[in-house]
Order: sequence, then C-alpha cells, then structure tokens
Amino acid sequence: MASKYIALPKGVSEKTFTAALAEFRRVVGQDSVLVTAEQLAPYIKTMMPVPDADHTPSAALLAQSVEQVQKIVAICNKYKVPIWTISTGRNFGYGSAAPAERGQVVLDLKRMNRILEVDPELCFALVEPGVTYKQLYDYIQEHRYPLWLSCPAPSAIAGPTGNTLDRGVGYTPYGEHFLFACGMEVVLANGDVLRTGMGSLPKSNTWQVFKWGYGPYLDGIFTQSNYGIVTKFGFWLMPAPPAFKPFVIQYEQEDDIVEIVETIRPLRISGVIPNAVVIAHALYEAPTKARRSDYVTGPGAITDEAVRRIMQDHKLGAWNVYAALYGTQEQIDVNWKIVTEAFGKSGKAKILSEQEAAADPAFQYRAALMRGDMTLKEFALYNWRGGGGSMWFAPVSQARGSETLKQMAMTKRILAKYGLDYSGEFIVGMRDMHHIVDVLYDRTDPAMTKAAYQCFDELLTEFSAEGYGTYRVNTAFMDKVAHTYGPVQRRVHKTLKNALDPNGILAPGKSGIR
Amino acid sequence: MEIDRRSLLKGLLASGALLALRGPSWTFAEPASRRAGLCLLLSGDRDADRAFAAGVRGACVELGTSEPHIVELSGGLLANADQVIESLDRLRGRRWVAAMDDGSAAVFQELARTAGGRLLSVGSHVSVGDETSPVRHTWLTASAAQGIGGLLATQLAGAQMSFAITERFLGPPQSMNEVTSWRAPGFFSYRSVEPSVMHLHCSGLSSSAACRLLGVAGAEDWAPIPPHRCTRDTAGGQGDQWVEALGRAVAASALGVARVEESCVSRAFVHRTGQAPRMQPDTRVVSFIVDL
Repeated sequence: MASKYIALPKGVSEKTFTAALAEFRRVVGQDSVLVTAEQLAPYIKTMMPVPDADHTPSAALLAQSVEQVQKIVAICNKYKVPIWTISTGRNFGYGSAAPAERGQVVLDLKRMNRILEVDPELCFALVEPGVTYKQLYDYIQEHRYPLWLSCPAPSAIAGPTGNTLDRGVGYTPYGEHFLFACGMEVVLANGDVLRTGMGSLPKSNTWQVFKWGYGPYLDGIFTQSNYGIVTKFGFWLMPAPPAFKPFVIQYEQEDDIVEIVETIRPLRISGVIPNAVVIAHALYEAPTKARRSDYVTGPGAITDEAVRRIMQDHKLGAWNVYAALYGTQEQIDVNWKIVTEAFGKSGKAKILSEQEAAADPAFQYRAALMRGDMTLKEFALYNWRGGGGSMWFAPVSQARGSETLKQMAMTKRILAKYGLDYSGEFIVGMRDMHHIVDVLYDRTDPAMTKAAYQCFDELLTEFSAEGYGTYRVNTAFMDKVAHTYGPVQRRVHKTLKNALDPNGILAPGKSGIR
Repeated sequence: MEIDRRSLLKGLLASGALLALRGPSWTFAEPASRRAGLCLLLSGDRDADRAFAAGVRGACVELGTSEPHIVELSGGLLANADQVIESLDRLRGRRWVAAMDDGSAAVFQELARTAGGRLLSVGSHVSVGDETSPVRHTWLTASAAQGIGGLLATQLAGAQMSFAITERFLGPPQSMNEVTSWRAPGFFSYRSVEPSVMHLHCSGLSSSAACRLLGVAGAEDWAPIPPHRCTRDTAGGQGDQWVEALGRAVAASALGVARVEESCVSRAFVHRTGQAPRMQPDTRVVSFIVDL
C-alpha cells in the first residue's frame, strides 16, 4: 500500500513516523512541520547526476530556538528518526539543501536568524545559523560599522554558519573562513548544549576573541561532520581597509599557469597579496559574457579553437588572475610595485588595474567578491551549457606550478572523454592550492547525465590515486571521498560518531560518516 | 518566411483572433469559486522568456481569466535578486508562474523556499540547436493533479514537433479502481511497475527506442495500456513555437485546467514526427509554478 508520505526514513514505519511527527508538531507547531509534496519540493533541488528520489526528504521542520532543537533531537532519539540540518541550504553543486539519504527529515534553521552581536572594535560577529551574508551586510551598512565581510560566490543568499561549517571559502584576506571562526554553540545528540572554546566558562566575555579555550580544541569536529547541530556561530570580521586595489592579470597560453603560480606563491606566503588569488580559465569567465551555443553545438567537449575565439571575442586570457591589495594607500603603492615587477618579469602578463578593467563584467563581480560585496553573477556558470547539472570537483595540491599542468591535463583528459568542458580555476591559498572545476552537464539529457556521473567518479578515482585529496564534495560522492582518506580516519570518525550520537540520528552519511 | 509566419501567429494570438480557429477549449477541474487565480508572472527578458509570457497571456485569454501581473526582470534575476526577494515578501497569498534561465532558476528556487513557497512544479526545457535531438522537457511535479506533461504533449504533437517529456510526481500515486492513462492520436501507451510505476506514451517510434532516448532501463517490462482506459487532455491552442506552447501549458496547469491524472509515479511522452526534423534554436528555459 502506498504511504501517505512522499518518503519515509530508512527503517522507520509509517506508524512510527506519524507518531514522531505528532511530537514534532507539539514542539514547533503545526505549521512548522512540512510534509506535503508542495512544501517539500523546494528542498529537493539537487544538481547531481543521480535521481532526485535518492535525496527526497520525508519532512522538514522549521525550528526557531535552541530549546526546540533540543526537544527535536530527543524525539529523533526516541523514534530513531534521522535529521539533516541546514541553515540556509545553499550548498549549490555540493548537494543543495536535499538530505544525503532518502527519507531523512530536514531540520531547517532559517528562522533562527538573529544577529546576536557585532562588535565594531574587536571586529567579530555572533550569529544564529539562519543569518545570511546579505542580512549581516545590511546590518553593518545600517550601523555604519567599518567592517567587511568575506563571502563565497553565492554571497547574498548564503550564510556564514553553513558556509564555514562546510569549510567554504571567500575572496578577501579573511577568505579561509574556518580560520576566522571563533566559538560555537552546539546542540549535541543527547540534548546537551556545548559552547566551544571560552564559551564554556561562566561569565566569560572572550568567547569570540580567543579560539582555543582549554583542553582539546573541539570546533573542528563540528565542521563537515554530523556530531552536533550548531546553533550559534562566532567569527571575525575584517576591518575595512583605508584603500583597496583589485586587479586582473591575463595570460595568453594555458601552459603559462606554471609561471603564474610560481610568481604568486612567494607573494602569498609573504603577505604582499593577502587574499586568495583566483586563476580562472577562460571558460570559467566566459559565461558572464557569452553562451556555449554561440560557439559550438553537438556532442563533445568544446575545442581549443573555440576557446581561442571566445578569448578574442571577449577580451579574456587563457588564464585570468584576480587578486587585490588592501591597506593604506602607501602600503598599496609599495605592494603594487612589488606585484607589477614580479608579474612583469617574463613579459607574458597583461596587467589591468581596476580602472582599466572596470567595464568588464567578469572583473566587476570578482572585484565585488574581493571586497565582500553581494553579487550573484557567478551563477551565470549554470547558463553556460544549461540543463541544471553541476558538481564541484575540488582537489587540493601544493601551491606549485608543476602541480597545475599535471592536474589540468588530467582533468581535461577525463572531462573530454565524457564530452564535458573544462570550466576550472585554481585558487592559491596560504601554501595550498584548490583546483576548482565545475562539472557542468545537462540533466535533461539522460546520456550526458550518465556520462557526468562516470566522469566525476573517474576524476575522484584518478586524482586520489595520484595523492590529490578532495576537500569538499556533493552528497552523492561523500562515501567515495571518505574512502580515499583511508580506513583509519574513517574508523576514528565512526568512533566519534558512536560516542556522540549512538542512535545515529544526526545527518547519517554526511562526509561518509554513519 | 518562417519568421513571418510566426510573427503573424503571435499577432493573431495577441488579438485573440486565432482563438476562433482553434479546437476544443480547455475546461477547468474546479468550479469557478475554487479555482486558483493566476496573479503573477515572473519572467526574465530573453526572447525565450518573452515567448513563454506570450503563451501565458494566450492561455489567460482563452480561459477568460484576467491577464497576470507581470514582473519582468531586466537583465535577469542574477542582477535583480533584491527585487525578487522584495516581491516574494510583498506578493504573498498568490500563485506565481515563472520562466527564466538556469542560473536564475537555481537562485529563484532557493529564494522561494526561504519565503515559505510551495512548489507545485519545476520544469527544465531544452532545445539543443541540432536536427537530431527532440525538444526535451523534464518536470518535477508535486502531484499528478498538477501534471503538465499531457497538456504540453497534446499541443506539441498537434504542431508536428518532435519532443521527449518526462514528468515525475513527488506525491504518492492516487489509488484508482483501474489504470487510467493519457492518450492522443497516434500514441501508444505502456505501463511498467518496476522499479516504480511509470507510464510511457510514444508516437513515431517503438517503446524500446523511446526507452533508449529517455535512458530508461528494462524496456521489455512494458505492458500496453488498453485504449479504452485512455483519456485525452483537451488540446487548447497549438503554439507554433515550443516555448510559447510551454507557457500556455504551464499557465493552464496553474489556472486549474482539468487534465488526465494517471496512477503512476512518473510518466513520459515521446513523439517523433515522420517529417524531416525542424532545426530548433538552442533555447533553455526553467519553468515554475509556486504558491506563496
């Protein structure tokens, strides 16, 4: 007999689920327990090449307070109902808001959206998980605080809690977001409320200014994990610099990437360039200016010849290096001289200042991200091929030029084998480099969807075989990536899971942990 | 020549003159007092978005409902997210029909969820600009009661267009005393129960060829659905452009036009014309029906 629910949690009967829902309603109210198809359909959007049915939730709960979250986990333990927590749920290309496994109940914290504190002198914020970057941006503007945010590309609609907990990044000097996290409040599976770091100390006012507290540092185990539900999140904000100078440097040849990275690394490590430098391939930038179908139709990856035409038509380099200088004008002048001399040595670089690149739409949104402004322009990537398929492939390497050519060759070869384009960028961090590739495909095309799955699987297999770990991945491939990090780490993760969540009610499957 | 004909048809449609030439009209599923009144169309400013809007307006004219309030986003949603957020907040208690590009759609669905929207359907619609691929439509629809595929298939088949439509219903299939199915002239209908109940309606190609096209496994498991169990969605008008026809079908669904409900979890409509394929420009549209 068909269930009256669109899905059920694994191993939970309809009768048991109905009883659990009744208790959820007593806690959060009738209107905050969503079970109809129309209510749940917005939570199902995925961009992965697997059936949406694999990630269909059984219900969604809209909690408004820590106390409600505590009561919800008690009910989940009683009925063995698993929950998948989201804050703003914008994990585009990494799984969106949909749960890792069919039937999990989405715990949506969007209504817990209070900005609890912004300190303009010590430059920190304490927020609830539903707070978006746009909300915080408006708050800072309204209060005229001289503070900047660091946002990921979906800036306005994403939030600092969810992005940082998934170890997302931004584009300002504070772009390694977890590095600037300071203090969490976490509801554990047994209902206890843990405040990490200095937050555990009664009367302490140092929760958001000193990260470590006393004893083992715990914040890390609540990122990319399922060991607790973060209900408050502290982080540091960047003081607005007196001056800001974004720039772009273009290179004409793909193999110039070696020189680019070798030039950038010392500038990053020494702090001359303080933000993560983006080295975007022409095809990563093209969607802000053109559509794929303007240049090619039919099956197969885009040709190098077509890429050259795109570069010429839209004034793009094969590689487009985006970075910025921050500080006083005097500091910027000194550092600009260092930067231009370093990049100017070989004669290959075309250096464009903010004034020279001001009309370029790709530069405009990159510059906005580097000053923590709100922009959604990077979503133009999804118009490149169209059809709604996207998976971010994100292997990590050392920041060395030799790594780039090797990774790019591997990626292009595997993508081309499956008829997919290389839309990639390298982001040079402190000493590491993230190679970010948006595997774009058309979900309305069954053959391409199947190819995209196989392609992504092969990318993960081949890169891990070469020692390149993936730092973040969509929910369909979390188990595979967890496996690449070896059995000992998985056992430790599982040991922690069993200790903190013995009934396995919190987001089973997140990062491959059950 | 083709462009002139399209322009003429659009002009006729706008004037309502074409309505007199059309076949049987759509009918409503609900009495007037219980019908949803379409009140808002959110659209980008691409040619495809405007064609969709023309279809929506055409459906409104044919059904005798007032034209929707139209919010056109100049430059698309990615440049106007604040306007959409504000509209979602201000224009509550209404049914929204929307059409936009993929990038905007990714954001819009998130904004609609944040605003507490109930999503009745979301569809992805693609013509890929070559002569070998049919126009593809894939829908996620809350329930069979909101199914749009049959409405669109009837129009496109009438206009001699090749297409592949898949539609998945999120809600549980309704229980019926006997299997009911959609039909249209030249279509054969099949039912498969594994791994979940699916109906397949195909014309101009075999069920196994249709399955290959759709990427559906297990073509040998399809059982024909007897014609006497089949019912036809009334056609409404026949759009000359598929995007305009899409707009008509989506609007008709949003307005509560009666349609054939099938006792299945998903269904597909595949049509291949015997004529030489018509080159379709590369066009991509994402459609929504959302209650806020």
